[in-house]
Amino acid sequence: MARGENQESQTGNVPAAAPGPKPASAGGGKGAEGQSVVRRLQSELMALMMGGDPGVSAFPEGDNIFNWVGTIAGSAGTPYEGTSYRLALAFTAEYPYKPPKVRFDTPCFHPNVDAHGNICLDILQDKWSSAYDVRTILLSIQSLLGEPNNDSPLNTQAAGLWANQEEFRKMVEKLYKPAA
Amino acid sequence: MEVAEEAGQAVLAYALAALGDAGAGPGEAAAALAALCDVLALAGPDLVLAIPAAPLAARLPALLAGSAAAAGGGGGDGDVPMLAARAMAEACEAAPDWAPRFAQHGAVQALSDRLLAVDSIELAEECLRALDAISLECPDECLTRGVAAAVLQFFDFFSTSKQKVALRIVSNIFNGYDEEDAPTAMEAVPALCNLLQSSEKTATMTLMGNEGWKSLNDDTLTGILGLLKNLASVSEKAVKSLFELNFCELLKQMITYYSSSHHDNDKVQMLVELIYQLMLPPETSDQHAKPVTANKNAIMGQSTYRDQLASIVALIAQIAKFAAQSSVCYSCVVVIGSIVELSTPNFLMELQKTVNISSFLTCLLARKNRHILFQTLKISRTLLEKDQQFFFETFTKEGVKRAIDAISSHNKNSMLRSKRKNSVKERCFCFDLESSLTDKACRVENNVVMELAEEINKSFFLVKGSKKSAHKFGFSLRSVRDFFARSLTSSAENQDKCKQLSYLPRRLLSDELQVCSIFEFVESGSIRYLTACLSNGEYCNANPEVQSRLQKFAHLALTMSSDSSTNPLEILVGKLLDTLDMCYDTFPVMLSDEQCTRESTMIPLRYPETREPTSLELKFRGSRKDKELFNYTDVLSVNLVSTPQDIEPVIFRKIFIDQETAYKNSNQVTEANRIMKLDERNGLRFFYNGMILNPSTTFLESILLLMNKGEADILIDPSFWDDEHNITYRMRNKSNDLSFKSSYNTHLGKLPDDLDGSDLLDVLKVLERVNHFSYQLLMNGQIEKFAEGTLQDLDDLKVSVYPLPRHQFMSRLLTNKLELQMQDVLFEDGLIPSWCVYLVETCPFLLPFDTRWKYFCLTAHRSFMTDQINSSPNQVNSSPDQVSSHSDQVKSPPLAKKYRVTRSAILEGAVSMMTNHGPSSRIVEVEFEGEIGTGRGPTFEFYTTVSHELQRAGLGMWRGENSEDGLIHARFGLFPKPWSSSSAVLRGVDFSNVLQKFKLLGHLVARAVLDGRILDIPLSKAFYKVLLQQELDIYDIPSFDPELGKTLVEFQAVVRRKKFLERSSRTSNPSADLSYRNVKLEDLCLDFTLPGNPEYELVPRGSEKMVTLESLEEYVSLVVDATVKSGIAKQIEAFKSGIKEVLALKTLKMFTEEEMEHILCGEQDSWASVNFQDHIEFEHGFDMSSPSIITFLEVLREFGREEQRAFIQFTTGAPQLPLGGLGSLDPKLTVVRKQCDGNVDDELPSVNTCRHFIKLPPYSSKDIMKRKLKYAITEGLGSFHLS
Repeated sequence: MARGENQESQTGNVPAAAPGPKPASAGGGKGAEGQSVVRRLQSELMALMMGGDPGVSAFPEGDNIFNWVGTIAGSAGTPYEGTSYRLALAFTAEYPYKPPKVRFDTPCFHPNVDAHGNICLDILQDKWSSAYDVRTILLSIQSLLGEPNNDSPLNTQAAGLWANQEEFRKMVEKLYKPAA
Repeated sequence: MEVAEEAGQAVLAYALAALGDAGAGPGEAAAALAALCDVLALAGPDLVLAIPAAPLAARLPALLAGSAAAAGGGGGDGDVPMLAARAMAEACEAAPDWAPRFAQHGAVQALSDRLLAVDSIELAEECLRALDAISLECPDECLTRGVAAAVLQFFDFFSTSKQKVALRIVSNIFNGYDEEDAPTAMEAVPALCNLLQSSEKTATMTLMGNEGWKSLNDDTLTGILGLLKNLASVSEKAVKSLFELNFCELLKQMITYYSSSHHDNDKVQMLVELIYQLMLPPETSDQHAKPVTANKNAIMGQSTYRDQLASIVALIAQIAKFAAQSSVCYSCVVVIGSIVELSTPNFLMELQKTVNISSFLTCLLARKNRHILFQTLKISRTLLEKDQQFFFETFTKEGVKRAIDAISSHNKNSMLRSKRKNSVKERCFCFDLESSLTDKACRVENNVVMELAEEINKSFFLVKGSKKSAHKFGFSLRSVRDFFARSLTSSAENQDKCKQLSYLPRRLLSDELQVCSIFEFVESGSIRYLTACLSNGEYCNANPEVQSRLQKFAHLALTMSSDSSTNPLEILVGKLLDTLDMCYDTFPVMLSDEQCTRESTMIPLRYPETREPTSLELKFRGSRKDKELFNYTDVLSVNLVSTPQDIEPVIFRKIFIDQETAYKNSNQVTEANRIMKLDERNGLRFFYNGMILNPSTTFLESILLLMNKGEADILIDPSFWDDEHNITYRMRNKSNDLSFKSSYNTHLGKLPDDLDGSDLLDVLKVLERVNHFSYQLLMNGQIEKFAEGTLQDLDDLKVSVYPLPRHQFMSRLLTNKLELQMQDVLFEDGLIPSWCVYLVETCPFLLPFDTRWKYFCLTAHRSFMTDQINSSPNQVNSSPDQVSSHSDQVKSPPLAKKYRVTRSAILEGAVSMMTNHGPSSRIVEVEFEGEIGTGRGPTFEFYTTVSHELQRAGLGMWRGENSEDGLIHARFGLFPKPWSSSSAVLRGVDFSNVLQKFKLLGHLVARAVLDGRILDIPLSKAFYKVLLQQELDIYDIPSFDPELGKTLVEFQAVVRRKKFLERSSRTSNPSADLSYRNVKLEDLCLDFTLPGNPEYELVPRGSEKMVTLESLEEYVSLVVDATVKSGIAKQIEAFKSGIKEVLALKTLKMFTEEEMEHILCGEQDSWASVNFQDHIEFEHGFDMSSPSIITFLEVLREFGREEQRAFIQFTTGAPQLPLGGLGSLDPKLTVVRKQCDGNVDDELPSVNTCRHFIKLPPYSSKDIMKRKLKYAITEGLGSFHLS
């Protein structure tokens, strides 16, 4: 299965993003452990399900509330129109003080996304604020798709191609492997 | 003997015969010459003289010269000239009479030709030998034949010893010098200069760039300088050609170089003397004074030379000001005097503008040394004579006039001074600059100084005095001054005063500050004003009023004004340091003996085992007034650091135990028994020559200062140590106690404005703190703005800080003084004037790191001694070691201790090693069990391995994430992980184990400092702060955890805003518009546990208590407290206890965080040695050979430590490189060309921290690149401050 392979390779390449020992032990230890984070994530989940933002959604993966799977749809009028991308979000016990690790699960041809799915986005690094949540992260990434930051590309080929939207669109489609 | 002589005669006859035969082949000649040399070498003068002169005297030079042509042809006679030269040398050395004989036959010419032809080094050396002997006898002949130039031509190729010979020859030649021979003599001058200057040969030979003189051997350099000095003193032309060769530039280089190191004072002195010779004033030169002066005037007339001179004056004035030795200062002043004497009024006015010579005079006139005063006054007089109008005005503005006034009135009072005791010597400098060694009487008597001052007063100042106007201050300084005048007269309106105080910084820090003179600055009372305004002497003054003033002050002082690059704080600090330079006499250097100085490189960290510490003989005797004490007399030899406080209990005990026995014997029980206990009410006071001694100042210093009324610097006569010094003691009573408290700290004397020297230092201290805490102060200001609503967005809650670099706070004068004091070998015995201790302990920022480190090394052994003695803490006062007779103080020699550890249990081994040997005063070395290695290698490895072990994940010591290699990875350095007091065991880690590890770390740190080991552990800056006993607060959190820190600071801002709203509008509902970035606090779902550490409950059942707007303040303060205070208190305590067992923690306080890191971790990330090409990639328009890249790498190499760190942070986001440095960065640091539309030089470099990209515009010059890069890397650091 395509998805399974994907996950394996990602775990190998980006070990830091793999489910860390902290959340694991937080989930498996005393009930009180990480309660603050759990509570926060649960409330975010509620808000997401109630809110109904178009084109973004997220849900915990399996039993572990520290690992989520997000989905964003390419906005209309962008080369990504009609596509849908899966993302993996890994939270730590220090959430919301520290941002979650976010990665594209579906391969994505984009100037600010590298071959392993890593994203270069300021709010996921030094511009992170505890006031952001899963929803804002996903919306930011969604808008990043349509408005890449070509000044600091992770994927130079994509950055170079951006000027030619038609060609770009072809590349996006060519490399798009939607999840099953 | 006779046999030998006969044999000699025979050989000689053979040799002479062979040589006489002109037809003989070269082989025969060589053999004959060799034989001749052997004979001459052994022969006595009689024999040599007996040789028939004529043939040989002609033949040898001919042989030397004659085959010169043939030698070129490559014949086998290469030895002949060499042997001929040697023979001549032997002959002349044996019998000097031979020299003129050879000279007659053209030997001089032949020798110098040979030298210039430079066939072989052996030949050249023999020629030198011969010339050495001949030049002594026939200097004139040598001079005319240009020998001086010839011997200097290939000077670089000679060995050091031969270089000396060459110089001796030149000096021989100039001995007989006479002005008529000038043209030939002058040929040598360029050669001499060349030696000092960059000649290509020197450069290639020494790879020293264009500073050839640095590669010269010390003696040689001294020799050359001496030669030039002599030359200059006799020849006008020499002076002229030196000027023509731009010699001044060279002199400047040399002076700058030598005056920056603290051990080349003699060279500086020499250079100054040389300049003195160049500028010999007319009155001291003798008979042919007239033409010389005329010539010198001609030189002065040329504008090119004048520029050279002006820069020399600037340099010499600096040296005079900062010289720790009065003798150097004196020479400089004399030199400036001669230049001034020769200068035209116009030149002097220029000099005033460029060098501000008047301010320099004011600075020197504040000194006590009468020789310097006298010369300074002479300069003042000359200046006034040259242009009365101009200098009258300048002198008034710069304070020279006031200073001269003061001298003429002050000296009347102190004219009758008692004769000095001879154990404190006073030096007379009158003859320092003259070569004659005859002991003449000092020309400068005390009254001479006063008379001169009066004379100047009468003839220049009083004439104008009719309109005796008050000094005109500028507007701002006047308002400062007026404020003081008012606040002194009126005591009322406290509130008004406060308002004024917070209003005035704007005035003081105005543009006027830059142009006002030091004199005006001091006179206006600005220093006192600053003291009053900024906290009355203490930082962290809890008074909120002072806090807000500090905030405002910091804001004003640190904001860069748009047009100039200097901010007001920089100017202010500069003025204060200049004022400090006027306090020369406040910091007296005490030297035990001039000869007795330390080798420059030898800084022992431990007390030299071979030496017996010097001690002081004190004879204690009861005062006549205290009858019951009078009978007791005792002679003690105390160590040099003993103070009356230390000795008091000893004497007290002796007196009263003696009395007690006396009373017991006579069976008298009187009241005396009851006063035997030494406590606060009862005790002793000590007196020397009737003067009470400060209980906390060492006897040594007190006695020296009292012996030496007046003059500042003290030279101790060796007899001082043999003498017994009489100390009287008396029972303490209240009346003589009071006099004492007021005079505490008075060793820091008075400033011209009656300002206490310590006031000045206090202001500097506050300013340094303001600078250091500028981030906190400015951030606080921003938060306040947010609270008041003038700032809306939390994203604007950042500040760009430009703190002054530390070196701006350093005092050259005080550094030089302390350096000089530390050169005294008795320094480590305790010849440490109290100002040294005061400076190092309270104002370390005035001194550069090297100086403080030297101080630390020289005094470190003290902390061992006391640590060992004071094994029980109660035993402070009566340490028996302080008083002892000569022999019973036996020191254990500091041999290394060895300790064996097992690799597999290295942490356990380290713990037990430190428990056993931690406090040892010896060096501790480590061996590994089952391995042969011993000494440095394994010991270093041990420290490295243990410091890695302490970074293991799962130890529970540090914050941060686990990395693949099982170590804790902390991007911003290691900081202790908070540990809740309620949990002793967590995830299998016992808290007591954590504490044990921190104690071990403390041990390691202390031993590493003392034994010069290096730890490989990236401790955070905040942790070093803790080590240096600084308090941490919320603003330190961003430095090790930026995300947490940022959020907490923002929360703090929200809390303040809430409070502000509550204060201003009590009726309405303030929390309505209070949210955190448009999110309600409750929605963040935070509970009262430590972020990222849910087991740590901030309050009981904290995981069930939610953070709301109401409880936010409590939450923030609890998180901060847990993170940097109570949560890590036990760990810190354990760490410190480890350090304390080895060395006194307070001795480290003189260092900064960065310096501590440097001491402990060494120069790990020094880039000088890094091969950038291997670690950096260049793409998108750049490659290794692009000009921009070449300059870029140059700029990187020139970066200092802090700049490197800022650069790394700029490009990678973290200030620390991973273990392994630049090379282990992944992805690699990549430099790409930045596409620019407009002017390239307007662009800034930018980065992509995800990929470690730096986009560099191809700047047009290196200068611009450096500036832009520096701007970019510091600009981005709003949220972390790297001061």
